Amino acid sequence: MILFFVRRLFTLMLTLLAASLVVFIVLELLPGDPAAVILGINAEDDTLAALRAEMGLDRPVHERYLAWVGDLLRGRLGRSYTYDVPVGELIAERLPVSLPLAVMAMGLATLFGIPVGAWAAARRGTVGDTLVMATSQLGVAVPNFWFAILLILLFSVRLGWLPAGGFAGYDEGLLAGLASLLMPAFALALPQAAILARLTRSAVLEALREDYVRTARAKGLERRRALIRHALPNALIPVVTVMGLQFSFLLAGTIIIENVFYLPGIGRLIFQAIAQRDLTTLRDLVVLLAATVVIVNFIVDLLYLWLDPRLRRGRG
Amino acid sequence: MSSADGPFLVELDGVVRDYRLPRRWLFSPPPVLRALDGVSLAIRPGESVGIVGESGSGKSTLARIVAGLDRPEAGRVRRGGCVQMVFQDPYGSLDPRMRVERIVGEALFGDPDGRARKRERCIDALEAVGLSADDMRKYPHAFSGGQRQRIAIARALVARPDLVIADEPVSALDVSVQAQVLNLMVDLRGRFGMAYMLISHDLAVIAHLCERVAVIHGGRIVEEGATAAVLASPRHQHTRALLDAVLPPDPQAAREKLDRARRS
Repeated sequence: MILFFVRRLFTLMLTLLAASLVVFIVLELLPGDPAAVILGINAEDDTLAALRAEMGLDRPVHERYLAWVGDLLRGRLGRSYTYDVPVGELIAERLPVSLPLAVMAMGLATLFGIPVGAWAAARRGTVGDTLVMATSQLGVAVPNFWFAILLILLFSVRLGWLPAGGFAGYDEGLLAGLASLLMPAFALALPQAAILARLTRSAVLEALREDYVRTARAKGLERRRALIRHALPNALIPVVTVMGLQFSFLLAGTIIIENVFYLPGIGRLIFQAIAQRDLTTLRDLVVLLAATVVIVNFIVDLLYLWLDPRLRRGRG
Repeated sequence: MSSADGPFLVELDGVVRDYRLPRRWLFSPPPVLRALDGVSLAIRPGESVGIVGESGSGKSTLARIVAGLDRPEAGRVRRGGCVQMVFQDPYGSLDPRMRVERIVGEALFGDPDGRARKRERCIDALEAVGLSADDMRKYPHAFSGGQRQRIAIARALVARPDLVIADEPVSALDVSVQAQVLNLMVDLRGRFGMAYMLISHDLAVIAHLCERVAVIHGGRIVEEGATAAVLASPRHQHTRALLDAVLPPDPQAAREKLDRARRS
C-alpha cells in the first residue's frame, strides 16, 4: 500500500516535469516578444534590449527553464507582465470564484446525473426511461452558453431572482457570493449531468447482467435493493473516471461561461494572459492546472481502491 | 427419506415460459422461443431431484422459475418453504465489492434475529462448508474456485432453506475439486435435511446425489423416475442419447471394446 503511494507520487512528479517542459517549449516557440508587447511597436531597439535583459529573456533557453522550474519547486510564482503583480496574487483572487463554481457544478451534476441514470436503468425500456434519455441527449447537445442565456432571461430578466452576471464577492456573506455562482454552476452542470446520467445508466445496465446481481435476487433481495446495493456500486468505477475528467475541465475550461456571466475566474485569467502575451502568468497557470489534473487523477485512483477491493492487492 | 404423499415443498403444474427473441424486422412481431412447455414437477421435503438435459433444453429456466427469479406465462407454481439457489459460476456470482460476511449475511436482511445472532449464523454456515470465521473479513478474490463455491453454498445455507436449487454447481470447477463440493453437498443434506434440486448435464453428478431424476428435452420433461432405474433402462431415446454421450472412465478399455466389436 505504501509502495503504491510512493510509486504514484513519483509518476506524479514526472508527469508534472514533462508538462512544465512542454509548456515552456510551446510558449518559447510562440511568436510574439513579451518585451515588445509591453513597450509597444514604437520602442527603441536599445530600450527593448534593456527590458529583455531585465526580464532575463537574453539568457540561454535551458538556463531560463531551470530557473523557472527551480522557482516553481520553491513555490515562487512569476510576476505578471500586464498586471505587474505576482501571479500568485492573481490566482488567489480568482480561485474563490473558480473553485466554488467547479465544486457546485460538479455537485449538481452528480446529484442529478447519477440518481437519474440509475432510475432510468431500473426502468429500462419504459416511457420514463426513454423520456429521461431523450432529455439527457438534449442536455449533451445544447451548448451551455445558450442554456446560460436562457437561464439569465428567465431568472434575472423575467423573475429577477438572481443577478444576471458579475461576482458579488463574499463581503456580504458567503451565501450572497455563492448566489451569483448559482446560475453559471447550473449552466455548467447541465451537460455534465447529462453525460453522467447516460454513463450511469449504461454502466448499471451492464452490472445488472452480472451473476452476482442474480445471486442477490436469489437471496431474496427485491430488484430495487439489488440495484442499489450491488449493481450501482459496481457501476461507479467508469462514472468516477469521467467525474475526475469533468472536474479538471470545470476548473479551467469554463472560459465561455465565465464570459457570459462576467465572472473573474481562472478561465478568464488564462484567456486574457493568452491575448496579452503574458507569458509568465500563462506558463505558471498552465503548470498549476496540469498539477490539478494530475492530483485529481490521483484522487480518482484512490477512489478506485475504495470502490474495488480487488485492486487493493497486487498493486502495492 | 421422503414420504410418498406428504405435502410437497414445490409443486409445478403445466408451467410454460416463453422468451421473446429480437425481432428480425422493425415491424415484424418478435419471434418467441418456448423455453418451458407444460412442465409439471413436484419435490418433497428432503428429497433430491436431478434435472438433466442438454444445453438449451430449459434446465436453467426451470431452476429460475422454481426459485422465483422468473415468472411463468402459464401454469402454476406452489412453494411450501424457503428456497435458496447456488449458481454455476463461482467467479461471477459473488459481488466483488463485498466481504464474505456481507455476502453471506445479506440473505438474512429481513430476518428478525439481532446482529450478533446473525453473525453467529454466518459463522455456523461458513464452518458447515469447511471455511472458518476468519474468512468473514476477506473478499471473494482471495479464494479459489472451489472455496468460492463453498461460500455460495454457505450463502444459501444461512437462510435455513428447505430446498436448495443448484444450477450446474460443479461444472465450472476443476475436476479435482468437483468431487469435494459434491461430497460436501451430500454431507450437508445429511446434517440439515434439506431437499435438493440439482441441475446438470452430467449424469454422473446426478447419480452421485439424486434419488430421482427428470430428463428434460425441448422444454418438456420426457422421462422421470428413480435415478437408478432411469440410468439402467432408459425408456426415452433422448435419455439413451445422453447416456451414450457420457465419456468412458477408461478410454483404453473402451477402445478395446470398440475394436472387438468391429472385428466380430
